[in-house]
Amino acid sequence: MILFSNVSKAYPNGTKAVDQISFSVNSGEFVFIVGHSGAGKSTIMKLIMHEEKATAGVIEVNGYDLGKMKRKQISKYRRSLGVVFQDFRLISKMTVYENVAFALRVTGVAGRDIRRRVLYILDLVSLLPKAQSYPDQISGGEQQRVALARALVNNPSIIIADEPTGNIDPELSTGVMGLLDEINKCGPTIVVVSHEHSLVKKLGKRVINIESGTVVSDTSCEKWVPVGEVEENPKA
Amino acid sequence: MGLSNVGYLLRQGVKNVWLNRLLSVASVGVLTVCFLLIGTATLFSFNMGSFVHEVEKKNELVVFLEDDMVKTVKHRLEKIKNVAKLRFVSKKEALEMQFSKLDKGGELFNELSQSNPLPDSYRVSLHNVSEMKKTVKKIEKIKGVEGVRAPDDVAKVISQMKSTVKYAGYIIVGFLLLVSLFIIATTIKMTIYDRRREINIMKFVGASNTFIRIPFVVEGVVLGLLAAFLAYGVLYLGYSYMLDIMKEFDVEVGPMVREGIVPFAEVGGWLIAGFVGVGSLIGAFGSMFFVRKHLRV
Repeated sequence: MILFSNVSKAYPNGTKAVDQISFSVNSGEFVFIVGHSGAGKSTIMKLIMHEEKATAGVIEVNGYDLGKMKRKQISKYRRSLGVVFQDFRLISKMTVYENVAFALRVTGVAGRDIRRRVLYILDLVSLLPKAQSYPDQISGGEQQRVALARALVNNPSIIIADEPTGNIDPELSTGVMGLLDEINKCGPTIVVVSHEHSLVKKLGKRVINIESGTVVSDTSCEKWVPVGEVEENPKA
Repeated sequence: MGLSNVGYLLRQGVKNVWLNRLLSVASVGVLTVCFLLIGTATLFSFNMGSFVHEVEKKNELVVFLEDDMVKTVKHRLEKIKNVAKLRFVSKKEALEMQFSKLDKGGELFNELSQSNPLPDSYRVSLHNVSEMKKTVKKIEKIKGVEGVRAPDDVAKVISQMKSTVKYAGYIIVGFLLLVSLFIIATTIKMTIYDRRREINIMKFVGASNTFIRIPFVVEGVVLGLLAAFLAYGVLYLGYSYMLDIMKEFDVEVGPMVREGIVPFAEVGGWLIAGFVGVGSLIGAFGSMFFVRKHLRV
């Protein structure tokens, strides 16, 4: 479960990235966080990742109170999350296999299990033939799937994806979202930051709309009207 | 952390040396040059010390003896710690030495040979010339010693040379060590800065600080060891080459200098031990220290 309660984040230069936002995501939910560029979506991701600390309010994720979390607990906490970054963040000197395996190694999984699980997950994202390639030898879409495989391989209870379709073509985007939807059916909570309204609408999930650092709407996909768009058949 | 992980991290450290080969070459190069400078200064300092010691050995006290007291004095002289070597010079030899450049068949020589006024003597080499005064006083007290002739001025100069060579050696090696530490620290800092993104990714995947640090430390130690052995090899070859050239061209360096040259084997053990120790410690602690900054995410 993810809980944001009156959370604010101000940067040292005075910029207020998020201002008094509150929302919660239950276990097993699939939620989209949407908003224009600079709305505060990425800051929310950074706060969940504990890359940034909130300047006010309470954030609880997987039972951890992130404001009170000790330094030593951070790595353990992060292992409970699966994160897909917008820029993939793959280690360029590791092969596709090693990049995915690394997420298991940090948790102390035995060598034989690592091999079995990595090969399974690479097969799932159709990257088995590229297992020994380096990130710069594969396409952007393939790199995105490696990042996804690395996020999934640990069986995390929460998967966070920051613009997971931002660097790939529409066809692949639909595939990636479909895959996340399938994974969600197996139990993990999924939070996806996206600005692609068409994809968000296609999946029909809960949508939290952020603008200027505040939550402007938190509703189901059917009721969601993107900021700036005129609602069809508005009620009188 | 399981054993399989320890093995993986060690392997990863060694592998990183190759994967980051450009920076590895730069780091090993810098470290090797620093070691070469320190090693050369050390060898120079050792040799200077040895030359001074050779000069020291050539400076003898002349202990004049009363008649028939040769054995008694010898026994007492041998008991003095600072005495390194004794050489007996009989009256006859002394006279011959005095006349070595003159005509031995001359009238004066023949006359003096029959009633030789010179006493028997011992030529005494000392371990430490700076303690010459003390030793002379001890010798003068020995029964049967008629007098002692000591080259005080030479002793003073040698004593000064010894301490100058010793302290100059310390200062030069110490200074080079400090400069080297600064250069090496900057190189390690640059190497790690170049890989900050990699460290950052590892942190977000959930790697603990120790898990990230170990391969960097292993890598640092491997680079330190490579530089240590490389510098040792270059110094060995360079030193041997220099000695060969001296032999080949029969460089006229004089017996004192020739005898004063320190064989590489005498210093080599200290050098390699120092290089390996300093190299691995700098590699390990440097990496550990500079990775720390990037772990705070």
